[in-house]
Amino acid sequence: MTEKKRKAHSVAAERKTARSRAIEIKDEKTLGALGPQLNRLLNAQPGLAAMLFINPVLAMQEAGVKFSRPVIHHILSRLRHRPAMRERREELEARLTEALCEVPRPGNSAWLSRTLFEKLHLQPLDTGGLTPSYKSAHDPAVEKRLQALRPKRTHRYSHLPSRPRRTGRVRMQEMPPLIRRLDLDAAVPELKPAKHTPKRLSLEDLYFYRDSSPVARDLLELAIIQRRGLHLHSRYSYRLIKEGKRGNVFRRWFRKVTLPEPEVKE
Amino acid sequence: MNLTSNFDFCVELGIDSVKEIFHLAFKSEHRYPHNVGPLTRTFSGREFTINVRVLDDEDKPADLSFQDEKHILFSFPFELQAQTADAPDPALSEILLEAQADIPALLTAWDEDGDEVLGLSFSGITSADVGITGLSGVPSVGVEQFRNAVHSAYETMPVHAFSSGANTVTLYDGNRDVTLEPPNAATPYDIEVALETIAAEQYLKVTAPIHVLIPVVPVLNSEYSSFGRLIFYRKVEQTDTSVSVDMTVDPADAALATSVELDTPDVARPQIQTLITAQARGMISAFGVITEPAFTAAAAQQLLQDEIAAYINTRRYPVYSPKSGDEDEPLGTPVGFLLVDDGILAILLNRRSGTAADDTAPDNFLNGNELALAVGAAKVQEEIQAVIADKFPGVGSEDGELIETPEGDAVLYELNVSLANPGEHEESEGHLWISGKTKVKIDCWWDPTVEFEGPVFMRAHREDGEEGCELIIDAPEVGDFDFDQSCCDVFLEIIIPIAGWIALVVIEITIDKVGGEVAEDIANEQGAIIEPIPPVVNGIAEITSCLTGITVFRDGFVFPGELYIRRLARSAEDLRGMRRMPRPDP
Repeated sequence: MTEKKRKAHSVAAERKTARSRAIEIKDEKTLGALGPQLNRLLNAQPGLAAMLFINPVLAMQEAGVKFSRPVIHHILSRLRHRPAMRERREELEARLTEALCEVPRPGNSAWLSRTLFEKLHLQPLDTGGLTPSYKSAHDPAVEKRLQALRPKRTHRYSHLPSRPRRTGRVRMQEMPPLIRRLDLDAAVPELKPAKHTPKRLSLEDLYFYRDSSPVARDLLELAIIQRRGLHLHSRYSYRLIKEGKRGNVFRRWFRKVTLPEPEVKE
Repeated sequence: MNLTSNFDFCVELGIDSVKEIFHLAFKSEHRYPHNVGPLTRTFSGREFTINVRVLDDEDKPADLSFQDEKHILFSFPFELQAQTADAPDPALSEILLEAQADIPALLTAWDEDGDEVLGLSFSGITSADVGITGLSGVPSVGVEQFRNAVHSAYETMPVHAFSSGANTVTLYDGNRDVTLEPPNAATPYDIEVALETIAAEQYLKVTAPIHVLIPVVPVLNSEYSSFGRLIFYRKVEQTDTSVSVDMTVDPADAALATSVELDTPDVARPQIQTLITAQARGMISAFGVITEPAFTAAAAQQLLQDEIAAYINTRRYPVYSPKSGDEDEPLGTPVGFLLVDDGILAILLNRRSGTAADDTAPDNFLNGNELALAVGAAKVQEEIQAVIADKFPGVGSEDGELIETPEGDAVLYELNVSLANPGEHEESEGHLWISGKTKVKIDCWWDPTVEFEGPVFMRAHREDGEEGCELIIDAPEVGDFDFDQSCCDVFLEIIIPIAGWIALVVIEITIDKVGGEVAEDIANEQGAIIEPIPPVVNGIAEITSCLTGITVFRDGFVFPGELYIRRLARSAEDLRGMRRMPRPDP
């Protein structure tokens, strides 16, 4: 048997062993130590690897891994936000909990309305027809490079007796809310008071209260962080997606997910 | 689907739009003078004045149809007026030939005032190319015309009384000469004519009233006076352009010899009739040669063909006047094809590969719209690669392109975009098929490498405002992505904004290249004021066009649109319609 074949045989045997043996992870230390082994386990099951992006805990449990509750909490909280954003989220949650004497729920439009108008006694604003300011989808350098791809502006047909009326414009629609970014630094227009107090307040509405109160600003930032976190699906949703009964961009798009595996030792 | 053949771009217009431009072009007197002449032509030795009129009005409209890939067949109502000053029959001094002339025009390109122009040219048209249908007005020369001609010839005779010695023969024609003595009491009163066919030849039989006075009849030594008639035959000669009767030539057939009949009985009457008959030849010759302008149908058709060919073979009119705004980047000569069955004019622009011999007609992508622009897959791919290179310069390199967002980072190693037809990848709609390879950065874990592929749907819609129409490029839709779900910003950062940019750049470059105008930026927006196709057809029409959407095919993008055409200058018809015709001074 050649060394290459022996190596392949060894890997296959190890994978078979991994599949047949349940792995139990009770703490973060074990999780770190067994990580490469988990990766190998998931790589061996391509259908499951893509499900990591739906819910990594459920995907690994399906691969035969058992987690303790603290480890599950650890994994999910780590994945939902990056460290800097996680810290900022925790900071905002703590500050708002103290200010409002309850856990902030800025994603709940009814709660948001009650908090702003009943608890903070803010003046309802007439936001009709206005949209918040959003950041560009590209950084300025890329934007400049892309702009250069567009044809140079020209004024042709100068011999026309009169310019034809503007017959056409072409432009890109603004990006949909979930992939555009609210510009927290842009100036918010001064608005007139609304005649009625809205019973619900969306995140886009909340944007116009940003300068009305420090609490409103914190709520806005927290809502943005919460919304932009990786959505981890419930067990029910996970099953529907896996069975193809519910559409999901990862399941649809991810053809193969490969996790780094440890070097195979001779 | 063949959208652009071996070219980068293609514009398709429906036959109705082509007709509309043609009718406007046709109203332009300097391109198409509707009245040509007077021209002088000589037929059978007779000088004619010719006036040609070409029409396009409600009663007699001009029209066109697509004949083959490179020819449009025009149908013009023509009127040809031929006048001659000395027609024996005044009714024949002017004839008006009317016909519908079918003339093919070549779809070709030329330079006009420094601009590349695609249009229709009648250059090189000969008489043989002109088809004539519905010819009318060809005069038929019958007994009536000859009667009139004979009456006319009678009136031009210097004398009507012919003497030989003391004998006098007076020739009457009704009361056309009231100075004659004795006044006309002959039968018939007027000169009578008849056409008779004898031995396959046509003869004019003339019966002319006469009076004969012989003061001294020889031997009898008495006077003889009598009314009577002179009867003679003359052969009718027909050419392509005239009918003539030479009164100076007797027929060879003895049965058609000239005769005289006198009314007054006398023992000498037979001798006298013989005597007068002998003298009659000179009298008859006084009628001269009667020639009527008379075109045969074949000759009339030929005349029309000749005059129409002479009129039309210097004419041409532009249909499409693209103009590159960039002197460093001249627009490729437009090449036109006619899709006969579909009634579509297709204009290819910027040959990408091969030579003219490789050019083929594109397929019908107009799909019932008034206008559609297409950009070929190779050109789209070129722009896609440019956008990817500018957005993600590291893609394709060993290190990849680091994409950082507040929510997560990724390294993009590969990104490919191809075009797909409806039905491919189990998608009913044409789409961009995007594939790639990226490494997703995950905190406290090993970074997974993700290979992905999926559809992105490009959509756009039209909106109308005070300043005109607007094509809004909708946010590209990622297949199976439900915006109610959580986002995955890093992933969408890769897909959506770049797909939007692809659409914007491809549309603007297409418009720029097909000869429309990308005139100015819209403040603070990624957009521009555009003219999807040239807003003017040289000197003829002003065109307003609006794009209404995007359709993706494996062979390229198609932008359907709508078209509005109006004449550049006002015509007399316009002014009449507006009741603003100039009035005479009070």
